[in-house]
Amino acid sequence: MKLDGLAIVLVAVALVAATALLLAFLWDRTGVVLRSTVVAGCALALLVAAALQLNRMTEAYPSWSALAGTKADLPGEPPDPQPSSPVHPVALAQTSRIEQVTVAGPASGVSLPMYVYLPAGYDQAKIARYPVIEALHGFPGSPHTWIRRLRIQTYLDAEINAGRMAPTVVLLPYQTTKQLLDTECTDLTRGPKSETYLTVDVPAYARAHFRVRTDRAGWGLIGYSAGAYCAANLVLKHPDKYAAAASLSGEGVPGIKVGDGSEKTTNNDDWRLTHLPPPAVSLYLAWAADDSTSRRESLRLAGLARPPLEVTTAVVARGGHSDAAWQAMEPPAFDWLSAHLARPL
Amino acid sequence: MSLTGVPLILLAVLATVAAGFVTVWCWSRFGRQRMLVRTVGVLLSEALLVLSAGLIANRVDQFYPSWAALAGHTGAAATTVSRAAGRLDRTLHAGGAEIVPWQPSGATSWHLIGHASLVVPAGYASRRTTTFPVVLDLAGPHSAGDTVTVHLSPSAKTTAAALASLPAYLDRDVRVTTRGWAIVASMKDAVFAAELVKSAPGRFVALVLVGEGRPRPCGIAMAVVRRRAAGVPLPPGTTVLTGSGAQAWTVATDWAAGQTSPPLAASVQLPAEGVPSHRQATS
Repeated sequence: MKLDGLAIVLVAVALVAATALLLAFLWDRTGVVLRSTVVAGCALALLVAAALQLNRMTEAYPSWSALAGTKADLPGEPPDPQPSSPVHPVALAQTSRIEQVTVAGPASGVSLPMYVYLPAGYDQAKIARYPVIEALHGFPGSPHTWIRRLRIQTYLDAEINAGRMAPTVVLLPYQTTKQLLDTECTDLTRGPKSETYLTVDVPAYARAHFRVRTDRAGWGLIGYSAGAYCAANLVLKHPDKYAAAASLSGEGVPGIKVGDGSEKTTNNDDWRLTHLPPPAVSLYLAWAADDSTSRRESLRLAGLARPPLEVTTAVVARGGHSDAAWQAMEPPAFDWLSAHLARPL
Repeated sequence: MSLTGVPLILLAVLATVAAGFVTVWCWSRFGRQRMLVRTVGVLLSEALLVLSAGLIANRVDQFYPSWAALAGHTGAAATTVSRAAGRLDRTLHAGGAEIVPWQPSGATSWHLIGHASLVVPAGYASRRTTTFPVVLDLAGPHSAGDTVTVHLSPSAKTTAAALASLPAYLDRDVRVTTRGWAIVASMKDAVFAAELVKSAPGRFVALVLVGEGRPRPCGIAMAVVRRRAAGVPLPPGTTVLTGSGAQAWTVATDWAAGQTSPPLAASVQLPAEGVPSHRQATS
């Protein structure tokens, strides 16, 4: 039974009902100890059901192995690919696919699984090197949130097939070694060096194992929620590695303490834009009009931008801070990113 | 009633408390029916408790600010604005690599040596909704892959300011992008090419110079094609390519085309929100 599936939530709800029934039945037949035990069981069942549904909504723990702390999905466990057209074995090379790899980062010391979207035709080798987008997830979340909740493969296929986006390799890395440890893609003083992992180890792995462009002109970032902060912060900090980034419902500051105070300085986008020369990169800031925090933060960032930093804003009318809003933002954000990255070679 | 408003949260909390009291009050009543009453009471209380907690969390973090958002209705007004055909589209054929004289009305102010020309890529005519990036070729004429290549020979009177009108004329006549362009020039035109780059921030992404020399950095990707890889030191980050004679220009145009943005169909776009004018962003 999948940890992030509907079936396990339904089982948990059934357990909630069962414990309630048990409580009603045993109350008149037992003493205080058993009554208390059943009441605790009721509470526990309720908590488990709520936690499972939250996990299903965020994909923080996409698998049992992730819950057990081994992080990686077992080899051979595919992440529910959603091809835009039916997959036929003969035509496999004509469709996109998502592969799972493990990136053992020598620079960061972090070793984590990563998913890689390879566009249709990748195996035919007509294109020597593809542009690359790193897609960063929110918190709590995982690459599976992009794959299952935000249907990234479907949207990428649609945009590429329509010619609105160039064939692109999209990397879906984890950003933390523990699902409930929010790194905001920074190098935590007392924690994983996520920034180094994402900006050094992941690109090095991609360049060594996939046919991707090696120059910064061909590299971009996208992220939603906490991943949106990540995308904006990393492109501002590493303009030598990335040419463009798309922030979907982001903020200008990390919601954590990094450990060295840098959440107020070098990891604070407001501080960077007011204290440092603006980098020559392009930034796409999207938000839902009814997501007041993201709107306020994104508008402030846009207002602080100065040439050569380019900013484009994009608004969906409603949707708050939800999957629906991010799904609405995906096609225009991917189109924009492709137009701001160098072409496949 | 607003999904994130206090009234709904109060209602949910009061309902939770009420359900709890009623469940306790009913606990030993209703005779044989009490098993059912107890079970329903406990489940109802639990459901209302979860609902109250969810509403409070939703009010704090604004995950779903409205009932419409909860239902997944974003009201997203994404549009795809197709690019109008260029004035010259009918006269440009699909063969590609055909050098076509280009004499827009404003070209006299550019003070060029001779007149400008352009080359459209193979398949230009058949890809009617596609816009192409531009390689501005100051030394050609050359053809640069899947781009619209514009050749012009600047004279001593030609200035970057005068050429500011070129993109608008080009956009009127052929389907080109507004950014992601590259420049190919001889090393002797390095200063002029850098001026062009600086005169239009964001338009050019790459500059390639052919010949010997030490150009200054101009804020975009730069390459130098020279006879040998070793030579005078170049600014950090400069790509060194090798080639001589006609081959050098082929190397240069290939590199330039590879740096440009991809030819794309009209993108899906969302409405923009303006940034307050006193803090206006660049685009």
